Amino acid sequence: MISNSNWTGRLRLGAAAISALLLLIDPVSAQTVITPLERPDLASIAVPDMASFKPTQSDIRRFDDYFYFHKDGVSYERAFADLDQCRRYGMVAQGLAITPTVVPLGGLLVKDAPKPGMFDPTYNTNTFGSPLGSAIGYALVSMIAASYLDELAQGTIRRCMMWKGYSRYGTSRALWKEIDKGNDAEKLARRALLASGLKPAMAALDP
Amino acid sequence: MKSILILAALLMALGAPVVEAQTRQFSKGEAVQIDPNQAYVMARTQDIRGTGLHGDSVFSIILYRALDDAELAQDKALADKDLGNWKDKARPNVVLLQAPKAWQQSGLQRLMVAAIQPGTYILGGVGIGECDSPGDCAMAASLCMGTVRFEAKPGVITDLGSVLVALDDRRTDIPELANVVTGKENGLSFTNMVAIRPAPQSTPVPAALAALQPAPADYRAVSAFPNYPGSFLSRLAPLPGVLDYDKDGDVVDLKSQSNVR
Repeated sequence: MISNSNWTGRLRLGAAAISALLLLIDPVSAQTVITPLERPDLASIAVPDMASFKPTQSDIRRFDDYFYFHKDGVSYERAFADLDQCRRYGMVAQGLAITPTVVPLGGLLVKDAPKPGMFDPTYNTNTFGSPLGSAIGYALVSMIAASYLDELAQGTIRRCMMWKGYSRYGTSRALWKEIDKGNDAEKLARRALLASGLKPAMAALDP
Repeated sequence: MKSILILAALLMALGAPVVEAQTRQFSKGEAVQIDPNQAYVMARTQDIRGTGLHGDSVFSIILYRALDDAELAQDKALADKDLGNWKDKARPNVVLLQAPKAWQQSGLQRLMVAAIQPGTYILGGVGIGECDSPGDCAMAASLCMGTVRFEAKPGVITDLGSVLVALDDRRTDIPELANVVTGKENGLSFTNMVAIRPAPQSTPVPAALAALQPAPADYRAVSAFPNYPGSFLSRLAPLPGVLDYDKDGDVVDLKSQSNVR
């Protein structure tokens, strides 16, 4: 996460990261199809026992790395959809991006009741694709951009979930690994089950 | 670091996107004559005063012209054929109102005027930087989690009012954004927050433009959509009578009193 409060500094770091990406990634492979995940059947999903979690000081220090969301009264289905939408926002987060020329919005959007899930699959992602650069170049990208983009993605998901009314709760690395296993849909389903389950007894973290 | 920044500037210039072909922004004080076949927009922005060694932040306005079904189908066909390069072949539908090329500037206030293709436009976000050419304008907020649209009618100057911007992690004295920004660093992705001060409450219209009888934009709420540019995730601040958000973050269209996901 960019902790520098200086706006210019942020811009420069973002521009540098993006520029490095522009230089070194294959522009074709940077276009990736992003589609909503298929929601697993609730009966097939199990989550670890979070209620008995007693955080250590070490756990608390790492709550910004290992956390989950919860919202009172939300259904598993809605939580899955919310998490999935925020996941997709996180996947495309680039920070300071060049102003686009084409934005394929229309039709559904401007009607009074647009349909949900109109995520056109053809837009940029922050995935690396196949680097054209040398091994050194790739290492540079890894150093400069990967960490920036990963933190940007996490911060984007947190912002998105905050606006959707979710609270954030810390957990341990061990419990997180139980949640974060399997394929993407299974991972998201466990988070959705936790988000729609019993309210955690511990205090919520900052969003 | 300096060489990276120079490289960044070069790359941004090389990758300069072409803005909507039918956009023409009027230069400082240029006479505006109404072509009945063209639509016109006017809008104001407000710079953020820089501190120390850093200059002011200058914000340009980014609009998306909503595509009709035939245009969308064309774009989808292009994308299906060549996912990596389809945008190079598609007709641009982004309008950039470039603040550094303002029709009028007074202190931190800027007023832009442009001729655009008639149609429905969505406030997509704001750009930052010199913006003296489109490729030199980086997008600093993408209003993909809620924004507004308006009609730009032929032969009419549509007054968008003021598009106000504040850094999310700092307090602001802009009334529309004072309770919207988080006002602190908190691990969320950095973003800019944006608000609209509609035309009637905005800076008075200069006499030369007032004579052309600009019409205030009739805004309508727009629900969340994909973050196509990938810029900082943001959403427009609630706009009384037009746009609000419910507890689930869904857009509430106050003109029809419906929630839209």
